[in-house]
Amino acid sequence: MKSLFYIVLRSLRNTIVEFFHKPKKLLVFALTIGLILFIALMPRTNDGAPPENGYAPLFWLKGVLFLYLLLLVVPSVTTGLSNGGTFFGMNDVNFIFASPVNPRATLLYGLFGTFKSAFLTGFFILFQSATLENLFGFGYSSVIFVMIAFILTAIAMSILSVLIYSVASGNPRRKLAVKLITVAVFVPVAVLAVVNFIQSGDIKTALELTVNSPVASFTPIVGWASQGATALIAGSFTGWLFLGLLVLACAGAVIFIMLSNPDYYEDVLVATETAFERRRNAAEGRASAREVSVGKTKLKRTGITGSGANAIFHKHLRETFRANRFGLWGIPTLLITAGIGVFSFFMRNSEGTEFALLGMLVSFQIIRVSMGRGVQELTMHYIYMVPASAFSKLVWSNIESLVKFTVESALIFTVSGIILRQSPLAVVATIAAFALFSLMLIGINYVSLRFTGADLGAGITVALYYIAGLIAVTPGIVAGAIAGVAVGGDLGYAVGVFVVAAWEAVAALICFSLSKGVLHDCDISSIKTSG
Amino acid sequence: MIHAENVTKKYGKLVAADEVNIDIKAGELAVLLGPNGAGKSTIIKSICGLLRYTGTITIGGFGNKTTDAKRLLGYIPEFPALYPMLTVREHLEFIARAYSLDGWEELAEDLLRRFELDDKKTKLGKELSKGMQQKVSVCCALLPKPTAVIFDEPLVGLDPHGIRELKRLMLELRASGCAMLVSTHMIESVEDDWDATYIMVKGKIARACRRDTLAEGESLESIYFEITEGEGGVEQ
Repeated sequence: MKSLFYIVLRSLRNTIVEFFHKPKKLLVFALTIGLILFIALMPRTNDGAPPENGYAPLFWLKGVLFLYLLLLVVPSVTTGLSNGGTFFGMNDVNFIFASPVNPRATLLYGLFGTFKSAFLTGFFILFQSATLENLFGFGYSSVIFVMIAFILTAIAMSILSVLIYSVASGNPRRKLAVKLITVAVFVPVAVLAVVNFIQSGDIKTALELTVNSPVASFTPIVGWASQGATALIAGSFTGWLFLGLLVLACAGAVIFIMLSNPDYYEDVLVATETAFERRRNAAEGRASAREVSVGKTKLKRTGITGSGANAIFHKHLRETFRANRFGLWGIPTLLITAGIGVFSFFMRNSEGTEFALLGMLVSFQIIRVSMGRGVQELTMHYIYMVPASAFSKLVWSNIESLVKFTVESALIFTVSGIILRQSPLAVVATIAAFALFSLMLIGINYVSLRFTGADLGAGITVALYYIAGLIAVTPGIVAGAIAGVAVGGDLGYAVGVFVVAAWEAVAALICFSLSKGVLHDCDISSIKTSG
Repeated sequence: MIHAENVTKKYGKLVAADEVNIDIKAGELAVLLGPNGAGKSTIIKSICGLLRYTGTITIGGFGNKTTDAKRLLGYIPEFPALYPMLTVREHLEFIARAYSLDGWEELAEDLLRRFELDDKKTKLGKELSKGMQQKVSVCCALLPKPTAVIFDEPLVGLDPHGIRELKRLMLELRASGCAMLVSTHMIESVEDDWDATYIMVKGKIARACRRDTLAEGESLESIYFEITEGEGGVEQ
């Protein structure tokens, strides 16, 4: 146990010492934390006054949380059934597993690492505090409750993966039982929703009754977490009981793993090795490896067209269509569009739904663009070596993303525009604003690489990227708001959003012209690992 | 053909390459040696234009980041980096198209055959072992018929056939006037064929010498250990 404490404390100490040896890193870290707190705690624009139609009822939040957390369950169960989950790194396997340290103490040490990553992930919920405040009229403490529920669920999911692997590994019957239990847990909620709909004849009423029912609240993990958070927001002490239930379940699962199977190392080994291999592939420049499954891929068409830098675009198309039979727009696009459609439908009478939609999608888009194809291409040597102008290579390596984002934008905002009964002009303006926002983000990416070489940890990079995106679009939003208010009415909305779009186009052009030399002025990402 | 002058690369305060000078003429095989962390990969990646640095690097007289230089240069990285969703042949086709090569198919077939990849043309990058990925990486680098080639630990992961074929190819390239820089820890693999050697220690070239200047009884291995384990001074 002493040795585990030593690792934890020494790693913490070295992290802090590193900050002082690398002031740039400390500054970036401090800025990120400062800006996250600023965004979370910044003064509210509406002085606490509710909008004309009032705030959205709390059950919507519970429903959204329930569904969102449900999305975390599926990969956790799948992981548990295949490779198993893991709390450990390959360094733990090589040093701790092989050493005479008590496996139970090692498990607790692994859990500690899970807390750290779950907490960091949950921290980003603070970015959504303004959206939550606008929709539900939240205070700061409410956002913290949502964050706590999210963090606890993330920890529970990690434990669940290991538990499932521990119980069902190598046993087809048990695997089938796990699948059946997973589905069975959610059947009562689904049945109740159908019954409520048949009885009331109204979707909204049916959903409200279902989400507010004890059946939903007592659904394991996701029900406990969503009910816990919303009850606490509503000022009910019972919220702590539900979150306590979640903590108890986690503790129970850990105790079960420890007691039933002290030789659990095998249960986490495969997942640890798989995760390590993915990270190493990424570090060695096999950029897309993390996206590609190890399964068999059918080859229907082969060959690449294009010439010069243009061949990069054609290569992207070949890779994309091979990885996904629907090409650029697959299931994720459909899910996003459907989700936005459902959200628009239920919020169609609320004030500012258009802005809430844009706010949500913008956050999502920042993460997607930061992991986009053009940026991935920079982690392999080919794009640097191709004998074509750096600017043409930059442009052609991003065409695929631009086409994808523009079409997606058109699809999503046409659907929401029809539901929200926006004018065609407003829909076109929103499509332009969102597509050009993506273009601006790509530009910001290259500018940051051009001037910093991106020598930062991934988490910090995304946070900085988020902040840079928000700062870059702010002048456009201010100008758009002024123009929109000056014109007024529905036309004012369209004019305002067009102004934002125009600013984004200008900002994107500035970014691209500043980053023309990025291929000459940034270090390929795999460099720092080798001698 | 490959010329680096006063090249320095820093990562923050760490000087990974310090005032490095390298000059490799056409038809020469130069070896870059040094212990782990000496800065070999750093200087190689600087020459290939993958890193920012200070100093001057030219390939065939052109700045290494110009299009003209890129046409002349081939690079086999330490870690073979393939696109997981492209087949072996598509990697070659991509290179041919990106470099706007004409009549590349015959050479592609020849390279694939020599590295025993001709029956794996439709295998995806993700389906290949590390050794096979390394072979594809070599084929991709040599397809544009470069006149300067940089090899970073090229033999690691290759099977005996691959090692033999790559060594033969190196000799053929040298005979055709190609300049080569090979970074390796396997001194014996280049002992018979090297023309010049650069031994790096702590980011500096600790010794640069040509085979014809060796004293009686000296070998590449003996120079290496003399420099890295003894008190060999830094000279260029």
